[in-house]
Amino acid sequence: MKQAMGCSDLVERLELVLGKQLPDSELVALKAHVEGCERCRQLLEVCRGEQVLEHTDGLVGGVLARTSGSACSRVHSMLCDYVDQMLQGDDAALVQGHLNYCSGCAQLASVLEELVVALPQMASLDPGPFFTGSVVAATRSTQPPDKWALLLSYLSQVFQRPRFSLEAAYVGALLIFLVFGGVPVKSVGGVASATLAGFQLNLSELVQDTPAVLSNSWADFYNSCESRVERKMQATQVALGSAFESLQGSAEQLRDMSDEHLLKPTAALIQDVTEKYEEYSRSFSSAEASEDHPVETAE
Amino acid sequence: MGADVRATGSQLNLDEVLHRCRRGDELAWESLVRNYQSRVYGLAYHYVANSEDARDLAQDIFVKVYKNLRKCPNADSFLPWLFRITRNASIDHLRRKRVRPPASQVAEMDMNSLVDHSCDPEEHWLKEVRRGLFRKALQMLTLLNREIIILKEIQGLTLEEMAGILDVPIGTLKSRSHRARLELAEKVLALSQGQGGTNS
Ligand SMILES: [Zn+2]
Ligand SMILES: [Zn+2]
Repeated sequence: MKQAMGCSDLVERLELVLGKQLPDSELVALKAHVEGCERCRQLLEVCRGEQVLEHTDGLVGGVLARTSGSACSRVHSMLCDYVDQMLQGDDAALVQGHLNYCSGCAQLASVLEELVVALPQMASLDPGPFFTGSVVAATRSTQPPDKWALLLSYLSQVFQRPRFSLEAAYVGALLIFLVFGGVPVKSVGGVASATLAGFQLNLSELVQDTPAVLSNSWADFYNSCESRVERKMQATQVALGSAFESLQGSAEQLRDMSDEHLLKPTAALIQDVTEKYEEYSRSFSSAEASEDHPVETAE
Repeated sequence: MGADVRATGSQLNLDEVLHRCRRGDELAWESLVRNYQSRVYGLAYHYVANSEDARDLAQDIFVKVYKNLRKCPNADSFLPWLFRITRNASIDHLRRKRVRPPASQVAEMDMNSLVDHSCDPEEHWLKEVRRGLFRKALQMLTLLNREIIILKEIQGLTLEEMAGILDVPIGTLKSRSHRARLELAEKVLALSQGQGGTNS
């Protein structure tokens, strides 16, 4: 009678089986077991090199537990670099090897890979259609960011304008004729307006004399130069003369205009205010006087 | 998504826009707000985890930006500067509220993500569910780890820029950033395995 063989029998006789030195009687009994036992069949196949083991979690894990300890924590420390493809040669292959067998680390790696793509896409969120409008409305009420920057940029724009000097001359002339234009304000009355009128008279005489003074000295200059200066100078003189004439013309226009639209209304306003003030001070002093009387009579 | 923000931004020179804003140009200011509002709102949202609070906060942040435009650097460092203001305002907000919202309270679907509408609705919906899970997991991290994820992985800042914003040494950030990512992945895994029973 042949004895029935078990799993342990195969393990004990494994070396003999592989070396084909097992007695036939035992071989038949062992074959009968292996045919019915998946585990032993696999063991034989692996030992003969016919099959590469695929599910060795238990085996490798068991060995590591009794030797170096789990490799997972080491893999965790390298996993970000692995996902970012920053690992050098062997390290990448070793981690890849671990991931092939360790489902825990493999899942973690796949989440890390997903996050690499998904997180940057979460940088922007739409705050809704009314957001921009509400921010602009909220900032409109606040002061402009920088008054100095505003002023400086305006000035730099002004100075960069090509006709700046011409404009400056124009504005200067405008100012002179507006302030010292010889417009009569004597009618305003009062000490202050009398002083202003006197001041203005002096100035207007000066301003009115200026063209004569200028043209006289221009004639002197021209005469003294005439003998020596060539046609070029004459042409320049003609151009300058006509420029001066047109300047004089526009200055007169400007004066008429400012007289009509600015100084006359202003003078009228000043007169009006002066009258109102005088009227008020008269009524005030008479009220004071009438208040004084009862006090005096009471005593 | 960030792509359309960059697209509109690239048509205009940021230095020129900033220059105009400093001069009080309302149109330039409006365009600056429009171009950066989704980044500021997105960043604030990841800190405060509440869309209403984040919207109010983002508006306050832009008012602050407007008042400080004079101190604003050139175009290259504008974004880190903007993020610094946003981050500090968000931290102040959290400090005022005194509570870190528990992960369970984080609204998952009340977001108006900037998605390309080319993809089909189901795919979009699945993506949103997944994002909700990431946000939930993010709220489970410690503040520093959360900030590292928000600034580096989500907003794409460099370690140098982050060190300036968080006032933490680069070395610390470098060693912590892998740990933070791994921790986030672990939380995501745990949350999705918790959901696994109902989903599959
Ligand atoms: Zn067996
Ligand atoms: Zn592992």
